[in-house]
Amino acid sequence: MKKVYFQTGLTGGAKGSSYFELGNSKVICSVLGPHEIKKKSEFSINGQISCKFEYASFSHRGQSQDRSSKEAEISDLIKTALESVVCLEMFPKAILDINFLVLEEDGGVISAALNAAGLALADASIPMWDLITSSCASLCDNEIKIFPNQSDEYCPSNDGLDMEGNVVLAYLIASNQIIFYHTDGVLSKESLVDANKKLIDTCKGMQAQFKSHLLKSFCEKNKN
Amino acid sequence: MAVDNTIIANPLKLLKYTEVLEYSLKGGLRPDGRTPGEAREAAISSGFIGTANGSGCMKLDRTSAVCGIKVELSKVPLSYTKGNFSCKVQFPAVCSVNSRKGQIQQTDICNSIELLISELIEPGIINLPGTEKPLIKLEDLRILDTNWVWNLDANVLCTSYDGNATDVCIGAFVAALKSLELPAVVVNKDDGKPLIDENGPRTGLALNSHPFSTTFALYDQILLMDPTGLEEEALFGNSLTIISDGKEPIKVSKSGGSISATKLREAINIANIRQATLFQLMMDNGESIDK
Repeated sequence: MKKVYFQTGLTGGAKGSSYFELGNSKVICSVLGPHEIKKKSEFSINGQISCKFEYASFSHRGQSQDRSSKEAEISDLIKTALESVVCLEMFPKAILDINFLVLEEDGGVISAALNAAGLALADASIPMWDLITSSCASLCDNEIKIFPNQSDEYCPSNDGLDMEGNVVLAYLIASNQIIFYHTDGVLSKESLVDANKKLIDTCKGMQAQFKSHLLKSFCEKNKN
Repeated sequence: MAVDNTIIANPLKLLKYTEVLEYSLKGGLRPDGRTPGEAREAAISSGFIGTANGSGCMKLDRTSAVCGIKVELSKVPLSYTKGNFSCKVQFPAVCSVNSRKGQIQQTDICNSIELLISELIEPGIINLPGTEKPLIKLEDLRILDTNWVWNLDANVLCTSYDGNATDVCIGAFVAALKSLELPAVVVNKDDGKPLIDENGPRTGLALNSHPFSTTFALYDQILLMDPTGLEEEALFGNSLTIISDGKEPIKVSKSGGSISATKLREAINIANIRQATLFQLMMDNGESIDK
């Protein structure tokens, strides 16, 4: 399995931030707020989340492309996932800004972003129902690979008959709920069930690391 | 004793920060516990982003910037001897501020750093040409005996801001240039089209020098090295940036206020020493990073 590295509390201005490395993929997440919504017409009894996902221009191999539509799609996906886990009723008429920056892309970027979001929200002390963990897998050549490289994520088979696709999953450990589930490609029912089991096990494995890190950084912050 | 900026700054933001500075400087220290001539702890690393041809990162406590350089081939007429360079400095969403005033300030900072970097590569492009040597030779970017050149596209992203974006952005840029590797190119003899050979030998760029910048905020003829966000905001418009190559200043940029000649010489000396420190830091880190 790929190496995972993360840190929290790096940014100057943001309330909470995290840096997450999944193999070679590197994502920074920062959380600002909650602060008041400027336009009165957008007031809502529940808080809102604004999510912006950006790729750095040097984050991908090959020629530069316009990825703004992909960025917008991923922003939306992550926003709906986070809306279910953040206690939005605790900050009415306010908005929470969650921003992402991908420094390098090598597979599993959405999963890395969701993990980074969970850590950054915890670092910012935003009330949440549970800790977010996320993992992804790709089915390539009849083999399920957890945390695939970018080359594994898109591997068209030679005869076009084999199943191939990707699954991304975000999981809440204590409540045993899935808040984000995204697949693309063609996957058989058996391989999906198998992938789900492996993904949830991976998430449970990461949970202990996240918890111990957050506990340590919380104690350090409050020592002063 | 060092004072944690975050805890004490919030209630004192209601007062003028210049009063906080004045009170603190009477005791010879700045509000965050540093002396006026002391910079925050720096960290530089390069070559850590695999998808970019060159990458660099510089961090001064809570201000940090990442620079990535990508190269592309482009066809030019045979008489053209130089490659192209373009640079963009940005505050991405992870580092942006909400207020309109803050956004305008960030745009101004980006523009000024872009100008400084452009001047390093092509001196004389903004001001009158002098005898400065450019940082890299754009002629090196030409692929010999062909009419293809490399285009360098540098993108500096300030990932975290707490004052002094100039130093970290320029430091990240220089670290990225140092780690830049141009891939090998094979030109097809039949149709003249180039092919990038991913497994071929890569060449680095020869740098004329390794300039680093030192920024001071000026408070009443006292040079405050490496200002934090609050100091910069309070002393807005009174700053001095010196880009030095170790022996002499390449660029001195002074915005607003006045400074005596002796103070300026003192600042230039500090900048020269700082360049040596940062250069050593960059070389030490460069060897321990696995690409």
